[in-house]
Amino acid sequence: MKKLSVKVGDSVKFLNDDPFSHNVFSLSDAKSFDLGSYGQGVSKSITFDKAGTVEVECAVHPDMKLIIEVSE
Amino acid sequence: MKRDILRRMVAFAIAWVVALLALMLVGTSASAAGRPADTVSQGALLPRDSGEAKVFRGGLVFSTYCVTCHGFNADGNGRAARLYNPKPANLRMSDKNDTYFGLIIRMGGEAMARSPFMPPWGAELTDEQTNDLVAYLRSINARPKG
Repeated sequence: MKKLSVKVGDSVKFLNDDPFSHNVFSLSDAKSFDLGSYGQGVSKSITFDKAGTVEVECAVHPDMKLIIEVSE
Repeated sequence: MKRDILRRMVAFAIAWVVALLALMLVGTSASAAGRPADTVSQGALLPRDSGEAKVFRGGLVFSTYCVTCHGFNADGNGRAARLYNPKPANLRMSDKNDTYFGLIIRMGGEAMARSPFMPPWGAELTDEQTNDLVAYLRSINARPKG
């Protein structure tokens, strides 16, 4: 699984480069969010304001997952 | 004399056992030959176009794509439901018809003036998957009629 490390206060931009929609969301305690469904060329950002492990998923593609480690 | 009678009785018993086994074997092959080949050992468990097959396949679609929000019981209590207000629809009690189900699955919630968080699945699911999903949703609908 892909991993990304960021600091508290950092923002991550999720750019959809694919010719179909994605729906980025997370149910993790460190950050719960849903960026909604969006298509090619669109990007949405989320700021991580708490340390911890955030498992990011795609609602449209259940196999897509990303771990974001948020540290102080 | 006695030994001779005993031998005859044993031979008679063996003959009966052999005859019974032969009858059982003939019966098995006859019943197998009497059934269509596809139900004997291979072939489809469910005919592809049957309602049962659609519901079965639709259940697989549901458990792959819909369960995160709508939950395994399709009652709107999926693990992501806590993110949303209003929460995902209780599909067991839905009063919508199959046409509506097909539209909201393909076009998403926002296009149907419902939750903008329900994605449009039209580009992800084939027509067959969508129709199968509708058949599955119809099969689990528990709303009282009338």
